[in-house]
Amino acid sequence: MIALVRYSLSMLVRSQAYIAPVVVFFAGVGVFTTGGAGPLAEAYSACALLLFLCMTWLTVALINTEDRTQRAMTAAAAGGEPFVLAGNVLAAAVITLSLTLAGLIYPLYAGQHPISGPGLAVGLIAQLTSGFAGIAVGLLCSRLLIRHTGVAVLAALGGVGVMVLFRVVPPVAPMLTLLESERAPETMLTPLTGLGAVSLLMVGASAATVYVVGRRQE
Amino acid sequence: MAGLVELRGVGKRYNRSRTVLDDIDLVIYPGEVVGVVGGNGSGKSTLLRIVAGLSPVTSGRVIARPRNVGYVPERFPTQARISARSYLKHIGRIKGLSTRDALSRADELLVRLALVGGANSELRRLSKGNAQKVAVAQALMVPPQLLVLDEPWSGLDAAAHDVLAELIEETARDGGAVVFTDHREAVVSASASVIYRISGGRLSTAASGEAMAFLELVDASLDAPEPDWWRLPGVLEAQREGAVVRLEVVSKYADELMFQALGNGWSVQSVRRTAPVPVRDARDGEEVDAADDFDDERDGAAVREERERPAREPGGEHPSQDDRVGRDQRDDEPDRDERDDREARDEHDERDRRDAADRRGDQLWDDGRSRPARPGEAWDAADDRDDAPQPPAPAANAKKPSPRPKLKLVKDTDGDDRKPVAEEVR
Repeated sequence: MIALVRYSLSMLVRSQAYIAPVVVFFAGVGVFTTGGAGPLAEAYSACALLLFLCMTWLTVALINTEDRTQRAMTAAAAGGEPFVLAGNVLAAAVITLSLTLAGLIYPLYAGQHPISGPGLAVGLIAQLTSGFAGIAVGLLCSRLLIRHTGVAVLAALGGVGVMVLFRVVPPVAPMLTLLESERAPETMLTPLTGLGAVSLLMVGASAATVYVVGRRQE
Repeated sequence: MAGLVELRGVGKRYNRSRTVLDDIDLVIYPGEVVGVVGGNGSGKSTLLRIVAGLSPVTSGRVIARPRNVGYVPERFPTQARISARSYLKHIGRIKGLSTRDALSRADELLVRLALVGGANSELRRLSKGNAQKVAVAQALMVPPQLLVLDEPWSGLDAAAHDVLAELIEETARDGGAVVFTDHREAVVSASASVIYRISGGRLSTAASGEAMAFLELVDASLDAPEPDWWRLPGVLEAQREGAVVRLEVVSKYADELMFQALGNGWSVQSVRRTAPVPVRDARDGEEVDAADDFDDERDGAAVREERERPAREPGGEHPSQDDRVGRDQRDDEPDRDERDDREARDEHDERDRRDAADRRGDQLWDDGRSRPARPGEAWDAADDRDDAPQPPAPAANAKKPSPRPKLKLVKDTDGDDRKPVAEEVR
């Protein structure tokens, strides 16, 4: 599985398709958190929102680096499509973790926030939650399900819009509301953990959907 | 011997559209090189994807398939910026090799296949042929138990043709099985030890070495009874376009077929015959008891085209499956024995062909007298021979003996059984 994750990341890096979303993420984090002075959770809400957008984009880019034929060859080498899909998801998780660390640390140096353990934990869980939610949406908008790029872009924008704007749709919108509520970070941890679990379940459901529906098209 | 790959009654259809594959039975044994010949859109690529485990079946079952599969697609049109060497390194690692071993194997294969432009060329910059070489190399990074190649020769230069043939042979010699497709029967015959033809989603044994006839029939009367062309003896391909039916028929069956067609209101628009394809024995080096085929058919297993040849051992006219001899072992024998074998085998082949023709003729003309029907006798797709013993017809798709439509002859009302008339049997 490590070989599949390395292969997946290598293909993404060489395709250069990662550059735009990563630049958007860092630029956004810089703009929204540099010089900030409010509660740490508010700074992290901006990072989480950006991570959600960028992980949707990056997940689509990660999977779309291989066309259908090349993916079939990889699947044959790996022992089946489920292994390749798992490799993709784990590679996306590695990217999420990397960007989460960046988004966790930068506001501490660039802003004037009161630093606390619970505040950092809130930032960590919030960004992981939004990152995984982005992976879930990205899987559904990838070439595995949607062959046409234009349709995929519209679907991705629609999915991201619904999940950010409609506060009844977990986990991103409720999480952003929670982070901006000015509650003490300690009281946010429990609901955030619940939303994080929802995010992980979404990744599993999306992967299963992609596998089942994608197989029908093969 | 257990099959390395076993498909039973496999069917495939996409999104409720037309059936791509229909009731395919296929057994592939270790050491076999299976060639599948078929035209564009005949379903051979789909069959290979199913064999490789890349496409699910709509019906039927895949009973056996090895885990270590190498797959080479028909085209490798990648836009990846990764270099050929780096790509192969990754594939090698995915297959369980260490980085060093993967690179070593990649270099070995790329040198052998003579990749033009060097191993560090980006995949997207490779020509079709060179990309195909990389595709072949990735499938062989670890010697596969099953090597699946979809039209592997397309785009390869002559030197790479030979190397690919060697690689296929090495895979089979090491106990792996190879399945490949091509639309050129001569190409398939040159490398395969077992040949199948796929057409209209159905798999049948190829008529290697047979003269072929291409017929165009026209329904001149507009209401001529039409049989299920596929099930008529010798018919390997049938396509209907409007009032015209195009048939590819083993030449020796063509006259009977045209005779029948003319008698049933069809006109012969054109006939084109081809010389026999000069092919090597599809069973070169393999001996199979004819009874095995018959048993296979009754058991519902795929019946493969097995050509008998006399056993080398005295008295061993029908060696058992366990007595199969590999091609390489046979190659080691003196030329004289080989020549004797070949002559004897040719005699057997000829006798088999005559027997098969007789058997198939019996099935075509259902008048109980095994003779051609007269013009005017009706086609009839009804099958009233279910209780009759089924001969081991050389059909790959033989989960159960296929009912063959036949002409039903009935006595004339005046009781003169020498003057049959048409009657539609239901």
